[in-house]
Amino acid sequence: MRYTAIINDKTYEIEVGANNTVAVNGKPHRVDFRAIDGNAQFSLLLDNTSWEALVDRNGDEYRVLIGGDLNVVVVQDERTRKMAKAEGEQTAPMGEAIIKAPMPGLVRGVVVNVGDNVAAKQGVVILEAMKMENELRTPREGIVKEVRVKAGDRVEQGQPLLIIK
Amino acid sequence: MFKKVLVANRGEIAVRVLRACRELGLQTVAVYSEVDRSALHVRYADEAYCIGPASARESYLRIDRIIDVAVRSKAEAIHPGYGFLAENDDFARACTEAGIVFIGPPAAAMRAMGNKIQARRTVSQQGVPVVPGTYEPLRDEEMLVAANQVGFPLFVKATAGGGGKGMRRVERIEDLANAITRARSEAESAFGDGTLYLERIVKPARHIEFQILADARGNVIHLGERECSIQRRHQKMVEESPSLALDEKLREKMGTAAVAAAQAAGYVNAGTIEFLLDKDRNFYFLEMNTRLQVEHPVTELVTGIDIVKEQLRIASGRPLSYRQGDVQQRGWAIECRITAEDAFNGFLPSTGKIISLHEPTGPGVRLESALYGGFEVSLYYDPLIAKLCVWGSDRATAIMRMKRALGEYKILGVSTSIPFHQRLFQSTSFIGGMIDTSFLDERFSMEQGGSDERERVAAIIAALLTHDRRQHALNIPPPTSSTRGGWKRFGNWEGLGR
Repeated sequence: MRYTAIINDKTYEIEVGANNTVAVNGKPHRVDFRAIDGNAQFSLLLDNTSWEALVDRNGDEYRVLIGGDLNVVVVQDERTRKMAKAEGEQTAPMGEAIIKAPMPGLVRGVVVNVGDNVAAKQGVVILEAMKMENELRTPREGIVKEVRVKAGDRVEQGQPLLIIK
Repeated sequence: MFKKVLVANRGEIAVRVLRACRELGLQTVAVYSEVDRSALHVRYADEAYCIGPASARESYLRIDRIIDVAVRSKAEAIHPGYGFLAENDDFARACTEAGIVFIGPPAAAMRAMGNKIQARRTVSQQGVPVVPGTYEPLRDEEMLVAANQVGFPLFVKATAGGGGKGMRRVERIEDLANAITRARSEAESAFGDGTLYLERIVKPARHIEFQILADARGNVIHLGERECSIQRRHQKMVEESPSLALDEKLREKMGTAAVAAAQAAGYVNAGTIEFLLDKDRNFYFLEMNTRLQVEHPVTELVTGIDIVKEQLRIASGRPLSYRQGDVQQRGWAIECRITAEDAFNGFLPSTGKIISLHEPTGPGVRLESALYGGFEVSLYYDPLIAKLCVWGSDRATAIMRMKRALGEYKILGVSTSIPFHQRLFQSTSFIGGMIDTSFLDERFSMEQGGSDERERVAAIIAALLTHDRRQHALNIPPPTSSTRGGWKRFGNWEGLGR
């Protein structure tokens, strides 16, 4: 089976063969690959060079941590390459701007109300996180459509806080 | 000596203090919040008492409940660890009033040094140089005037502050008013005191601090310096002892100043005098920490002195076990603060259950940790989860040893700062000792310097895992998507490596 592994702008053509062999950009290697704990820890002997990796997968994206280096690898086979191409052609215009928590924290205050006109780059929510008070600002001008949090709320990363239309 | 000691803290520092007590043959009492029932300190202590819900405000900061447990359990003394109530003079006073010994400085000395403006005044009166800035509580308008005399760039700092809270860096006078507002608000919510002061930014500078020990009989000694210049947004990440920046002469000069500063405050027990050292080797008093420091192990490793045991001795009224002449620095020690933060994602806090843990060991390694498989890292408490310390005969040996130990350390379930530390220990500037307090924020990046070979190996591993999934796609249920960056449970790998 042939796979394309993409790391940043670099691609590796990897052919996984029978009998513990792989070819990387045409160059053959012997591999012995083991799951260590059934979770995220793996051992690879690549031509007898020993590597340990922690791997976290999210869809076709793998976050591979080796000795302090994190490589985010997207792996495609022929089918997923086509799917990715099709998705790339869709454009979804956004009618609303959702301000999300960039990190987990505690809402210290919301300084606007529903119906308020807001300017671009206007501070709207104060989020206490990482020992600092952080001012979250609007991406563009508009009207506050919805406020989903109040002072004292604990929020998770990515949680919508406020919607601007 | 006491017979029974209560430890009013959690996490690695509670375990550290409990260990000292056990080695001295003392009975121990732990307190815990509802989410910490299974925590290591609860299981390690002889007795344990729940003091409230997860929120520190309702548990680890509840003076009344902690004193009540001490009285009920007949503990004669309380060790506060660091953080929480360690620098709260109301707590020290409440202990005394309840007839319990507070293992730390007298409330008055704590108050004098905890108020940073007052500390600046007290110390400068002893002839110890202090970072240029303001010395009196000022109103906002007065601060705007004083700022021009202090000079830019400067810090707005909270008088009651610490750990980077209520602190703002200001480059230009135009930004000062806003910085004052934000810092005051942060300080009021964190410390209940919005008083601020201004301090000139000394740059480039190293953060050098001196550990001191003082007994109740007036003996004060220092245990040499710690180099703490590796800071990320004013949070220390790596500490070492000794410092490359000091020679014997400067060490003696700064050590003498540190002892004088402690004496000026009428200080008793363990404390730390923090200095900034500029490029011309001028030093300035920054502040005093009136508690056991997070980074105390590096001093213990080079001096052989158990600081926590000395704290217990001092608090029980005994004299110091050492005179200044007995204190020798031998070899080199380094500490990495391991935090539950995602080094590859702006150090965002990471939470979750520890699903697998492999801890480093072997020659010269000391690990201060409260982790175990199954432990839940939550947002309720500080992200510091462990401290990895090493000792070597010299700095180069210690660095190689730390790299070795970091490579052995595997924590699965949460993202940690370990990859950051591994990158740092590959940095030629760090290895060469070319560091100051702005090094991490200005001259270091997680993006730099990845190895091509590791990248290729990562590509192969990802391809092998994809291949395995394809082969088994027909007979296993689709794996649940894992949470990003958590090194969480991976899915079914029954097909692998039999």
